[in-house]
Amino acid sequence: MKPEEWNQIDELFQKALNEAPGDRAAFLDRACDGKEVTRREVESLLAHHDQAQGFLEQPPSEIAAELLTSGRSQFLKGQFISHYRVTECLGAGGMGEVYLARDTRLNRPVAIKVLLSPFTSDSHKVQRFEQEARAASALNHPNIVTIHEVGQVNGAQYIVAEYIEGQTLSQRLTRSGPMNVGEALDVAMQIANALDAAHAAGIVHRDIKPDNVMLRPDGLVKVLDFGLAKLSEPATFIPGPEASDKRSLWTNPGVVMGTARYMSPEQARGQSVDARTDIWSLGVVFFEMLTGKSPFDGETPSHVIVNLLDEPAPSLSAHVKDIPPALERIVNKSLCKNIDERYRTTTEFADDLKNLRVQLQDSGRLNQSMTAVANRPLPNFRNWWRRGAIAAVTAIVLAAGVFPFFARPDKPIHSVAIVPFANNGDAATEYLSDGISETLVNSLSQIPQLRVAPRSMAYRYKDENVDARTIGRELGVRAVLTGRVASRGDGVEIQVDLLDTESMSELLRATYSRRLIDLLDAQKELAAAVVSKLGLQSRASKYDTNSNEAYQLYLQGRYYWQKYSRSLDGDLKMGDYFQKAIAIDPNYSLAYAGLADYYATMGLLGRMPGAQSWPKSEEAAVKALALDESVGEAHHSLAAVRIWYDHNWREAERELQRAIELKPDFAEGYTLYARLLDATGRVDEAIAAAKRSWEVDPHMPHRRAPLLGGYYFHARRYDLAAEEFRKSVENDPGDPNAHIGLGRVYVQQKKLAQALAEARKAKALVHDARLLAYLGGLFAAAGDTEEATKILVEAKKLASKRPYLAHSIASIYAGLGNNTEAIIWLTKSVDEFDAFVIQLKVDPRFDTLRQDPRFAAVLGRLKLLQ
Amino acid sequence: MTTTPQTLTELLSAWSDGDKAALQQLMPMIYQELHRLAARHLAHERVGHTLQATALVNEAYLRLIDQKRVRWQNRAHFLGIAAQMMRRILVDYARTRRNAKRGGGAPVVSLDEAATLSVERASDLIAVNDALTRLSELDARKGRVVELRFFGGLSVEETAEVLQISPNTVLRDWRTAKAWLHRELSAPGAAYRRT
Repeated sequence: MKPEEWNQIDELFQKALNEAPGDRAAFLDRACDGKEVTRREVESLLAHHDQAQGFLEQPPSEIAAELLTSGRSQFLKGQFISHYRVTECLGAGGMGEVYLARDTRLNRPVAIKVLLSPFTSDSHKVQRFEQEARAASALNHPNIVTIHEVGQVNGAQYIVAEYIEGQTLSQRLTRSGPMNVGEALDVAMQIANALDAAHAAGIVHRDIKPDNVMLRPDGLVKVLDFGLAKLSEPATFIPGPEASDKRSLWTNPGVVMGTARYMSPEQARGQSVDARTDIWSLGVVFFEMLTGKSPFDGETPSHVIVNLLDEPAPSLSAHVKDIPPALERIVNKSLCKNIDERYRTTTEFADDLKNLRVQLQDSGRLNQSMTAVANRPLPNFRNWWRRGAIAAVTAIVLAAGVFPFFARPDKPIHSVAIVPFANNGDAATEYLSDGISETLVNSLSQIPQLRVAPRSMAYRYKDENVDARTIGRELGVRAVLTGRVASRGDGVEIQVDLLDTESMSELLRATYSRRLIDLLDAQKELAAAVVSKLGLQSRASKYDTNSNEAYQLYLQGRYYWQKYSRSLDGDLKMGDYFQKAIAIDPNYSLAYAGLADYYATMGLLGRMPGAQSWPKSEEAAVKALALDESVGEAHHSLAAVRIWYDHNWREAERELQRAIELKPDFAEGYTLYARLLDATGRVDEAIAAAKRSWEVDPHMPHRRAPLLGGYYFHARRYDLAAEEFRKSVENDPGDPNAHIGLGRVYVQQKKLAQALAEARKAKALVHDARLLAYLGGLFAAAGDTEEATKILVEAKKLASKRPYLAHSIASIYAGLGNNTEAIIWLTKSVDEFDAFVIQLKVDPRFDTLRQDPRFAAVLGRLKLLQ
Repeated sequence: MTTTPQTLTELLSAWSDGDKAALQQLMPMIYQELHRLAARHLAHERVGHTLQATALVNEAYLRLIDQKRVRWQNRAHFLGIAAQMMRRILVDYARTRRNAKRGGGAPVVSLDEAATLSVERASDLIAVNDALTRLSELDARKGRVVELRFFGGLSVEETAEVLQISPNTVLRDWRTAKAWLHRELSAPGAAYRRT
């Protein structure tokens, strides 16, 4: 239609409206003047005008209300649901929200579950649910949550149940890991008892999972949500003609995942279910209690489903060592895919559990905790037909996982902070949470238009529970990424949240579930997602390796390297991980840097003679730099070689400056620089560098006081040094090093009695010849010649067999005033590349030797004569 | 609040003066405020209370904008953006809802329902939105009038202020637009016949 035509129609329509309805036809006769099309148009508008009186006069309020409050709980504190006053929202799940409330009539706390309307729109279903809920409540079993009331408020269905203090089984497992056999048996038996009672009354739970099991502090187990599952249960989970109708129920992928793991094969196939479905689910829960892992797991719910349909249940013994065979049989029998081979009744299941319990109690093995068997990869999905099945199932689940409110900024966001990810899982994945966020910082830093808050700044918020908006404001960035990492079976789940702190809109909330070997891909995906959600162009990021596995190994190696409490076992693992990473990717520069650090560590701790370890360290560091000069870690590794092996201080300082330049957030770069500065007598600078390292990585508070104390000691600022060592004594009175440090300061302050007291405290804590020798010098300097001599004799006996005693022996001789012997032993310690020799220039304990030309010769060998 | 009222006020002035980039920054802020206010309103009421978009938009304006530092025209601009925001987010939300419920498919509005269409249901809202887009192609100003009145909940006077036209013209446009949209929604496919 041409604009003129429309304008004419509009005008005629308005004019006709001003005519009395009875006169309009006559008006149009005159006005349209034979233009039939125009007339028909005006007439039809007039007709609709008459019908449209109330049309569009009300704003779309209900949708607005629903929209604007989505993501918030329906009821707020103080509101009433019937006669229950809401105290707080305890959580929201796939089917509704759970509130803690107060029954104002009976004055007792209750839990109220308000069901979401999609689950209650079918009145028939609701009715059935009510029947079942009532039937379940009528059971009145100690292991079944008591339901007080089922009702409706403003069209929403709600259930009032007894409020149970305690934690869910799922929280228990996340917080404290797998249970010992006795504990797991106890919980499983109580669940079985609850199910037994329900099954006897003809009620199948259908959704037994750790989230539906409450553990009270007194040990009583309560099973929740009987009958509820029916409301959410689609008829089929396998793609079929009706599949698309079911997906509205699958709105929350997390819920689907949580449910899929415990689903029985017949449930997954959409077949009818009976009591044996609950037995299967209890079997899965039991397995998880014992191992901390799900027997059927996968990246997505669809993987899980395909897995549980086709893969045989893994054996318990593949996950934990020393499983009583009877226990394994019970689990296997509950997890039989063929329903007819499974336990027929919960009574049978419970009886077997009871018998096993008695058996184990008699043999004293009831409280045996399970030791994990080393990582076992998930089965591979190699068959193409299976891939097809996964794709089909994934399609459904993904279609349901629509996130409506992920705003995309209208304008690109140019600043972001990445808060180090929290670690939700066990200690075994701790290395991941730091590693992943750090890698993310590195890869995002390569986006030219993006300013990434330094790791050091963002690190302050780790586990601090500061809201994103505050973080954004304090760091001066607009977007804030937070996340958590949790281990899931043999995989890992990374959950991230990217928030635009200005509009407070969520740019990204996603969960990446991956097997560990796919971690690198997940990271690339995550980095790309973040860049895109910020509205920026992604650029191919530089990654140091393309191998997921190598990357994974590298992260593990680094984890052991950074660990403060060292063990020979951990150190050997460290080397092993780096070696394996290199074996997979021989061009992986970072892994060579890691290997260099491994050899350095072995050398410094005396686990390998310095003459052997340092050349290897040097070789690896040089190789790392040859592969990629821009790897800051490798410059740091080479600096260590220059310090302890070559004593080439200038070169070492250059390497460290380059390392810091390349990687300003690398705490160890500053730590090592601090040691160099300390050794060369630039103590003020050393303290500044050490402080910088703590800023970069504030998660090493336990290192802080003793190191600082040492630097002040070397600077001869004894008051400050004493203060720092006192702090470390307070922090950890069981650490002999803290007492030794404090004692040495007292010696310099001429408080010999106090020095001796510290020496004696330390001696009570020392159970190792090397540390005892280390303490010997303090006894000597504090005036306990007898004790010092005793230690000296012992140490000298051991000196030929054990490394790094020479330096301690020298300090005992120095304390005893025997300069000649002291210098002889110092020379030996230089020969064996003892870690402490580099402090010789500044160590007050050897001040009595400084005038001796032979001492100058030793310093000369260390290239520490100015 | 990360954004001081001054900043928002300045942005609004900048946008009123023709700085297009300012709009991109204003929109999320206004969205956020609308969201917050809505949640607060609901917090003080029993469930089932319906929201008045007008009240929300006005309150958002009062809270976000420093009254002493804006020209009176700026308020109109603000209302204009707010209405646009409300439309966008409501429709996006309705789409998501519909997709989740139906797995796609064309919205169906029966004639009977359209007669008293209160536009509460997601599919209705989408249908109105789509029809409104077609109206805007035919007559941009009438499209804006509907956007402001229906999605923004603005009064005739406020709409006139935003569009710099007389209230009388708003009323005339509103009448025509309503009749046109009503016809459009009553006869599925009508739009294709006409364009």
